[in-house]
This record gives sequence, C-alpha cells and structure tokens, in this order.
Amino acid sequence: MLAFGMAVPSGGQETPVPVAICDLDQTSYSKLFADLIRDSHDFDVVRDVSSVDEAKELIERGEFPAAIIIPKGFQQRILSPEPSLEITLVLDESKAMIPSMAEAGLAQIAGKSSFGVKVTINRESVTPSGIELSGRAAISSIVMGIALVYSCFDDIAGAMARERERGTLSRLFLTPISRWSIFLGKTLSSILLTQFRTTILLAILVFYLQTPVIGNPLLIYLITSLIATTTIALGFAISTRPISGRSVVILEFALMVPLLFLTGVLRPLEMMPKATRWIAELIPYTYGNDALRRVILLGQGFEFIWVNLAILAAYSMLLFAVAAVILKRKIM
Amino acid sequence: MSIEAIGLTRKFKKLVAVDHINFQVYSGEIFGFLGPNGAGKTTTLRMLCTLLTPTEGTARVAGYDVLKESAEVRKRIGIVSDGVELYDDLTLRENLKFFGRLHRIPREKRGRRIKELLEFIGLIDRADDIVATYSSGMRKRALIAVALINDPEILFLDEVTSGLDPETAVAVRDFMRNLCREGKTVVWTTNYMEEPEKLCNRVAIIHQGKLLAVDTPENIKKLAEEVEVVEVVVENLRGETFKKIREVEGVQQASLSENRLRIVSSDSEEVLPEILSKIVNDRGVVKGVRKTRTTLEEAFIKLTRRGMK
Repeated sequence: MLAFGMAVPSGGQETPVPVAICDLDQTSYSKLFADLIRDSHDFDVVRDVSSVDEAKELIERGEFPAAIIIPKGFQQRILSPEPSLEITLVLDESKAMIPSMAEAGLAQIAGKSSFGVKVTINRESVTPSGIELSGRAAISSIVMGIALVYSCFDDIAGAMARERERGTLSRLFLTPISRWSIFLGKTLSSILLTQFRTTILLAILVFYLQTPVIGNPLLIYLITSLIATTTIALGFAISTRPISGRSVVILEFALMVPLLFLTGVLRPLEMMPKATRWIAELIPYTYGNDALRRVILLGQGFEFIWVNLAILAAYSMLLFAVAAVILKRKIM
Repeated sequence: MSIEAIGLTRKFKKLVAVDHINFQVYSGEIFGFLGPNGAGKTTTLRMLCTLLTPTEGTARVAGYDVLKESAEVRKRIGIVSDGVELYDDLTLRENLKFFGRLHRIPREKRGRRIKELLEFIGLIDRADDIVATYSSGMRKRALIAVALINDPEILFLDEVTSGLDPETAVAVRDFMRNLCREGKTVVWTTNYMEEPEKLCNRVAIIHQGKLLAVDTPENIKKLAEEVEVVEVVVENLRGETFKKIREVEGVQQASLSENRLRIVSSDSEEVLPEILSKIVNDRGVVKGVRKTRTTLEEAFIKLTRRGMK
C-alpha cells in the first residue's frame, strides 16, 4: 500500500508529462503556442530542441519521453484563408501512459488556444519502422521482467526454505562438497531455467500478446540473465537466515508490490513524484525493466543499455558479497 | 581415537545449549550420549558433524578439526538424525546415487556399494519406489543406508530407535553391533536408558548442556550407588494406590512393570513400611520384597538430579 501511495499521487492530481519543444517556425504564433505549453499543468518542458532528429535521439536515450514539434509554416497555416493548426507529437510509445496523456494534454492546449481553427495532431513514434505499439505491449515487456524476478526468487529463497524445512539441505551440507559449490549449482540451474523461461515468455509476447520483439534476442537473454543473477543474489542474502517457506511466500508478495509500482511497469518513472523516483532509481529491477523495454520494443542496441547492465551487475556483486559475508559467519 | 571434544560450547543468544564439554570417543566403540530432551545432545552432535559452528572450543573428528577441516570430517562421517532427510520425490536408489556422487565415489564402486547397502537394510525390492511411499521403519532404514553410502568411519545416530516398531529397533541395534565388529565407531544419542545399558561400551550423560559423567554403563551405575532400589511383587495394585506411593516422601522414582513395583529412594528402610501399608490398606497383596541393582536409567536420574543441585 505504501508503494502504491508513493507511486500514484493523491487527490487525482497527475504529474505533468516531461516534454521537449521544438519550434521550427520561430514566429510570434509559434512562440505563443510554445508559451501555452510551458504554462500548462499537463506538461513539464524540460528543454528546447532545434530539430526533429535531435528530439528523437534524446527520446531514444531516455532524456524525456515526448517532444512537441511546432512545424514550419505553423503561423502561415493559421493565417491562411482556410486556417488550420498542425502539431507533431514525437513519442516513446513503449512507455505506458505517456502517449495518451501527452496527446490529451496537447489537444486541450490546442483547443484552448482560441485560434478557432481545425486542429491536427500528428503522432510520430521513435520505434523503428514506425511500428505502432499498443498500451498492452508497453506493459508486457516489463511484466516479462517481473515474471522472471518472481520465478528466480522462488528458485533460490523458496527452494532453500523448502530444502531447509524438509531436511535435505542439512543432508547436502553433510557431503564433502563445499557450501559454495551448492550455491553455485543452484545459481547456474536458476540461470539456465531463466533462459528457458525467457524463451517461453518471448513466445507469449509475440504470439499471444501480439507484441513486436524488435531487438536482438541475444541481448534480451543477456538482460534476463543479469536480472536472474541479481535476484539469485538477493535470494541467497535472504536465505542465509533460517526463514520458513511461508515467510518466503510473504516476501515474494512484498517484493512484487514495489516491482509493480516502483519500477516503471504501471507508471513510468517520469510520471512519479520526485521522492518516489529517487526510491525507484535505487531498485535494480528498474534498470532491468528499462533495458528490456528498450531492446524488445525500441530495438535498441548495447550502446543504449550498457549503463543499465552495469548497474544490474554491480547490484548482483554487492548482494552476493553480502550473502557471502553472512554465509561465512553462519549458515543454518 | 575417533572423536575428541575440547571445551565444546554452543550458545544461542543467551541460552548455553552446550557448555564447555570435553570427552573422547575411541575407535570401534558404541558411545552412548544420554540426556533428557533439550539436554544438548543433538546440538553436540551437529557440531561434531560440522552442521553447526561451535561458539567456543573445537573438536577433532576422525583426526580432523571440525572448524578448519570440515570437508575432511564430512568425508568420514555418516549421520542419521531428525532434520537430515532424503529427497522424498526420488527413489531410494536415486537418493543413494545422488549422495554417492556428491561424496565423489567412483561409478563402479558406487554401484557395488548401493547394492550392498540395499541388501544390508533389506530394501532391495523397494529401492525403485519413491521414498515418500515408505513406512516410518523403512524410511529409517533408508536413512541409515544413505548415511552409510560413503562407508564412514564414524556413524552418528541421533534418537535413531525412537518411533520404531520393536522388530525394526532390534534390527537397528544388531546393525550397530555389526558396524562395531567392522571397526566403525558409533555415537548414539538417546533418551531411552535401557538400550545403551545393553549396547554401549561407554556412555556420556549430558544435562542442561553440561557433561555429568563419561564412563562405562557399569561405572556410571556405581556413581549412583547411594541410591537404593527395592522391587515389590504385588497383586491388585490400584492406580490410585500407585499415585499415592509416588507421593511418599523420600521416593525418588516409582515404576510399575506387570506386577513388579520398582521404588528408587535414598533410604528404602524408611520409605518401605509406608509403601507396604498403603498397598495393604488399598486391598493390594504383597507377594514379595527384594533389594535390587540400580539400572542405568536410575543412575541417570540420580546424576541429573545431582547435576541440577
């Protein structure tokens, strides 16, 4: 509930959509329209850009999720005998909520601008070949990440708790193989299972959810392996305490709630209150989900996601180190 | 020497479960570890098996330090204990193969060993059934087989006969004797006193984490010689009368087996008249009275009471 409250602002007040403005007309009408956007509660203008290409590039890098392009001839069209108003909205359609909110906000401003003319809003996506993404598609890639987190956590924390309760963990510890070998075996098996699960989830994404998988599949497998490794490390850190299977189920649920609300699944980070966003940025899965979204839906390559991967790897190492320190002192 | 415990201590927060105990177990003996529930037997055993780290002190098992050479220790031991189980969803043969591989037993030797063990515990016909379908007696035998897969020098048996039917319990005791004949050391924890008296070369009595005595069952009984045991052969002894007898001042313990009433007291001459009068007043018939020898159980009670004081 706390995570939900943090992610969704109270009182029905929505966080403005961060946008860039690209005024290609540079006339008094276009500047007036840009000012209307700046004054609007629906948008937070984070910067001005000089070209559509620059806007697209920055959106792809994740600097902001949308850009409002005021095209050349904006004023001329308004002042023509058959006046009209044309705006282009460049969007990262892979982010849930953003497209609909940005379009609605822009339509409202155009309507209020009292030019009294016909309004046309053109939508342009940063997805390759202009593939249109449904709202379901925007969420599904991240849901895939969550499914993997959940299953990997159960692979380790759940399995260790069950083995401890059944007494088979003690039996394993009574063999001459080191405890590190036991953990390494469990880690490798969980990573292998993750590859299998990734394949199934990708198939569901493509064939059932009709989500286009644009990016390099090998990169997808690399991301899911790193998500798995981070989760396995977390599972081991937790398993160093003698927790019961029942406690693991509660922990799994406790893990799921921030995953849903704070890692950009139901609400993109840009739409979160600032304090919540800081918390979200501390969660490793935020970076995993973002990388999956970028590769699956935007078809981005390693150069766009290497920071995310480095953060995931750093979290894995940190959590494995924590687990190792506790493990060295006490195991059962 | 098979085992040497040196100041072995285990604390769980403020509770001292095992308190600086020292003892030695010699090769080829059956060593009984006796004590009531919660005395510290299983904790000691788990430290000796490297499953639990001592808070203080250490132990050498099969010549290796449990802290510094735990893998060497684990190569040389087997354990049957509550909380050390088998994979229920595997067959016994699969369990044996799996743990045999973890003990790095070569394939051919492993196959022979599995066959020997299945014959030894009499489960060769059920070896390919999943363990979940086994009765408690069969399960115990299966646990013994897995504990023996690595042909251990020392076998730890923790309360191994509890909950077993008499036939299986006898089989387990015979099996322990056989192991000793093969030169293996058996450390056996139990809170039943009759079995170790017949079976163990030496016993240790542990109470509230402290070791009260380590000696042969005979010598342990001698330690408690000041206890007197009187056996009264009686007929028509009512339950109400037996209750009254247990409450007589000076009676430390009273037990009834068939028509034999066994009284443990510090001074039998003092308590006997009152006991006999209670029997007769409640229409019981006294057929005979005789002084008898202290059993290990009675010695144990005496020693643990002394320990408490």
